[in-house]
Amino acid sequence: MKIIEVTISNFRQYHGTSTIKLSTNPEKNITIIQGVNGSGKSNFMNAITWCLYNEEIFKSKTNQGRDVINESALFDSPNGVAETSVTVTVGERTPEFVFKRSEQYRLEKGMPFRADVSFSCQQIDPDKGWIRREDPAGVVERVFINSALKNFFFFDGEQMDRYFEDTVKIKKNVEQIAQIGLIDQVLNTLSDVEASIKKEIKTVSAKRPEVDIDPEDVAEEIKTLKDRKSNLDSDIKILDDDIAQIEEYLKTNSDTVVSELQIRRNELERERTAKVKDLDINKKSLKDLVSRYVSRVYAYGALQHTKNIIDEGTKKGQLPPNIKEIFIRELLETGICICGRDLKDDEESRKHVEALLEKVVPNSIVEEAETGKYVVGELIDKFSFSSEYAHYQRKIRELDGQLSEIRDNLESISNRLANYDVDVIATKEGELKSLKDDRDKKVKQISTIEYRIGELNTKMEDFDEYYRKIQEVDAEVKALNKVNNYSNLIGNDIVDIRDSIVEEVRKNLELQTKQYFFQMIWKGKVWSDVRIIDEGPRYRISLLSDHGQEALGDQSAGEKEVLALSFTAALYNSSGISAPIFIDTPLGKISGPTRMNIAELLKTYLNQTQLIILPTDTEYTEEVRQCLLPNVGAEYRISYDPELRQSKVVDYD
Amino acid sequence: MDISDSRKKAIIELFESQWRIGSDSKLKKERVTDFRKILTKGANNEDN
Repeated sequence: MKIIEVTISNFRQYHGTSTIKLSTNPEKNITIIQGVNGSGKSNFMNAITWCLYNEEIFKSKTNQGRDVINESALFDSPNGVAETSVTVTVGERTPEFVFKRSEQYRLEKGMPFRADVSFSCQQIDPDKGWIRREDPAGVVERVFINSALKNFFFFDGEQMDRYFEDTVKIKKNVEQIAQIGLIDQVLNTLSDVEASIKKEIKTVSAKRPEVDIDPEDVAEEIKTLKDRKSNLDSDIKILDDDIAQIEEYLKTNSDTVVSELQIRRNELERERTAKVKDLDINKKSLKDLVSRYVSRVYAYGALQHTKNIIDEGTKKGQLPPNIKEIFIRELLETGICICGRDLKDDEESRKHVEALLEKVVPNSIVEEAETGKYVVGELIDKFSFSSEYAHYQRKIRELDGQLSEIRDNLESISNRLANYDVDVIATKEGELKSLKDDRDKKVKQISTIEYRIGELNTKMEDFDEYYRKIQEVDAEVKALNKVNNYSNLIGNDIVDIRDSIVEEVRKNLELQTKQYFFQMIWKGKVWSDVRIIDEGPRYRISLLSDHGQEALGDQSAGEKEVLALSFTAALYNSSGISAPIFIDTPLGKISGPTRMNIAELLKTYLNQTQLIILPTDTEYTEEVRQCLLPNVGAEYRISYDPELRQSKVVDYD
Repeated sequence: MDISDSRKKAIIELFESQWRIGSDSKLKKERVTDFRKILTKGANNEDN
C-alpha cells in the first residue's frame, strides 16, 4: 500500500492547505522533500502519523504542549475559528482509502480551544463508489502499517544512535511480523479453558459424598457375625437334642405324676407357640392398620363435623326438604293445588303457593346436600379405624394375658419337678432348666446378631448408593482432568509452533540484515558478523568486529546508518508489509565520500518500496541529487518563511 | 517437533474456532465452549 497524496491544512507551521503527491511509480520509487533545518520536515512526517495514528512520531521541544493548529490561521481568522486537518490517500496504484483527521479550534479568552475532533475513513467500492468505514483506526492497522511497527517505517537519520536501544520492542516487532497474533489468542483461550475446567473440577468434587465407613470392615463384621450365628445355631441344635432327651425321659417316666406333668408342659408349650404366632400376626395387623389410616386420622374430625351439620339439617327437616321445588313449580304450572283450589283465579292461594317457593331449598342444593351426605356417611362408615384398632388392641391384650397364664403354668410345672422328692427327677429338671436358659440366651444372642446384620446390610446398601455417586463424581473429574491434560499438551505444542515460527523469522531477519549490511558497507572486512540474539524477552543486535569482538556502538555515524537501514530493509522484506518508508535527514550525520555511498545504497537496496526521503539543503547536494535522480518520481522543497514562521511544500524547481 | 496427527487436527480446529469466533471479550464463553468440545473430542481420539 502506497501513500498517493497528503493534504496538510493549518498543521503546525504549515499555513493554509498544501497537497503533496508522492511518487507511486515503481521505476521511480523515490520522493524527495527537501527542506532546511527547522523548516518542517519532521512535522511533515508528524502530520502523516498524527492523521493515521493520532500520534506525532517525532517529538520536539517546539511542539511540546502546543496544539497542532497553525496559530496564525486561528489568530488571523476573522471569526476566531479555524480547522487543522491532514488527509492521507493510500492505494496500490489508485486511491483506495482516504483517511482524514481534523480538529476544530476557536479562540477563547485569547487562547486556542479545541472544540471538536474527528477521524474518518472513506473506502472506494467498485459498485457503490466512496463509502464510509466505521472503524478508521482498525482500517489503518489492517491495511496500512501496524501501529507497533510504524517506528521502523518512519526513520530519523539523526536518531541512529538510539535505533537499536529498544530491543524488547524489536522482539515484539519480530513477533508482529511473524503474524503470531492468532497463536497468542488461541493460547489465551486455552488458558481460559483450563481455568474453566479447574473451576468445574472444584464444583464437581464438592458433590463427592463423605463416607465414614469402610465397606471391607463392614463386610468383615457381617461375615464374623454370620459365623457366630452359625455356631450358635449348632449349639442350639445340640441343646435342643439334650432338651428333647430329658423331656422324653420325663414324658416316659414310670412315675405317672412326672410323665403327666411333662405331657402337660408339652401341650402348654405348643399352645404358647401358637399364641406367640397369633400375637405376632395381631401386632403386625395393628401396625399395618396405623400405617394405612394415619392420613385419615387427621381428616376424621372434619368428616365428623360435616356429618353433624348434615344430620342437624335433616333433624330440622331442612334436609331433604319436605316440599320440593319441582313439585311447587308443577302446581303453579298446572294451576291446580293438591287441595283442588284454582291457583290461576284464586289469587290468595296462588300467592301462598308462590311464598312456599321462596322457602324451599333449590333443587341444585338439595342434590348436592344429598350427595354430600351420602359421601360423608360412606367415608365415616368406612373409617373403621377406631373399631379395628380397638379390636387388635383387645386381641393383643387377650393373647398377652393368655401367654402370661401359660408362662405361670409352665413355671409352676418346672418348680414342681425341680422340687420333686425323687432326686433324679429334680436333677433332670434342674438340667433341663439350665439347658433351656442356655438355649434362650443363645436365641437372644442370635436375635441381637440378626439385628446387627440387618443394620450392617442397610449400611452397605447406603454405601452402595454413596459408592455409585463417588464413582460418578470420580469419573467426571477424571474426564475433566483428561481434557485439561490434553489442553496442556496442545498448549505446549502451540507454544513450540509459535517459538519455531518466531525463530524462523528471527533467523531470516538476521540473515537478511547481515546480507544487506555486508552488501552496503564499504569497509566489509572490518566487520565479521551481524547477529540478532534472542535473550528471552528481548532481542539484542550484535555487530562483531573482524576479531569477533562486540562492536555495536563503535562504528561511525555512516556505519550505524547502514546497519539501521539494513535492519529496516530486512524488516521490510520479512514483514510482508507493503508500506512506504520515510527517511528524515538520511545523511545528517554523514560527511565526505560516505554520503555518496549511502545515497547509492538508498537507491539500490530500497528500490522495491515507496521511499520518501527528506534531506536538508546541505545533505541534498547536487552530487547526491544526481545520484538519486534516476529513481526520483517527485521532488519538492519546503518553503519556510522565518519571519512568519510558516512553511509550505512547493515544487523543487 | 513430534506432534501426532490427531493433535495436529485438533490444533487446526482450535485455530479455525478462534478465527471464526474472534477475540472479542464478550465472546469468551462461546470460545471456551467450542474449544472444550474440540479438546474433549481430541482427548478421546488420543485414547484410540
